[in-house]
Amino acid sequence: MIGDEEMNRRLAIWAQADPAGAGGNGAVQRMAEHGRIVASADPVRPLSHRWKHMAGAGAIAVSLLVAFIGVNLAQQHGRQPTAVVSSALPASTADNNAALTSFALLHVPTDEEEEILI
Amino acid sequence: MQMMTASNDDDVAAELESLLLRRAAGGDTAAFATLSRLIAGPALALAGRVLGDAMLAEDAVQEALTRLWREATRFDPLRGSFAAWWRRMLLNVALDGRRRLRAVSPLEDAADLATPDPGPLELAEQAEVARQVQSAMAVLPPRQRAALSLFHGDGLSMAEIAEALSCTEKAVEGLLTRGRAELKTRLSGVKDEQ
Repeated sequence: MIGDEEMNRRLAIWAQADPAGAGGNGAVQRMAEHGRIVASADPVRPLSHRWKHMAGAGAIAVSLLVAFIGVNLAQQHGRQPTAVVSSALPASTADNNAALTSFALLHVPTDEEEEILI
Repeated sequence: MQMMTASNDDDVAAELESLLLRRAAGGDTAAFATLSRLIAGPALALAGRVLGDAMLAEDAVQEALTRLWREATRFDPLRGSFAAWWRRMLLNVALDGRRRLRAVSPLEDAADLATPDPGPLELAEQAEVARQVQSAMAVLPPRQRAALSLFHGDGLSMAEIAEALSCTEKAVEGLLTRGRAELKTRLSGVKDEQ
């Protein structure tokens, strides 16, 4: 079995030797050329992540503000905030009445309800 | 005195790299080309040791350089040196699961290979040792290979390796111990056969 010292010696030789042959001058030149091409071909780099996060947070804040104002305005004018709550809900008082009528036509009253009506 | 000079040279190189990166982050393409030329050699050597193949190493360094250009604005000198940041970026690319270590010739074959470079006996012996170690490295898990490469090849400390591999110093110790043990077993086998 190889001892620690011999192992260190072999690893040192391996580390210095570049056995894969990857660090030659030609390869360095190719990498430098690649760097130049990448920088030239992609001059407009994407925004940094920090700016992306800030832009995302800003968009969410603006959306919430618009929704809040929309709800307040809708309440002041007696309208359902359709865009905020759900598009499936009636959009106005007239729609609301129509929905109630539809419900009344479809609803089969129970015995208890009929007794109350009588 | 020599050590002080080497340390000063390293500081100057680190300062230059940081400066070039800052200029590249501002869109200076010439600065990035210069930076690529400066860091390409050591990056190719590290990738070559980790991947064991020149073509795979070039592929990894190219991809890492592209990533470096795109993420240059993310570098924060207050959070660490450029060298450590770049090393981690390169290793992330090199250790990517898609980029497997090239299947090299078996260790037994490596022992029989004739030395292609003519020269003194010592050089021939060193080249043979290097090839044997490289062949033995091929069977190690990628992270063990990277840890051994950073420790013996780049002379990094445990803390620096831990930062590069995004793990604890204890984990680095484990990687080095297991890697060395496996290498010893395999290289002893070759020695015995010879």
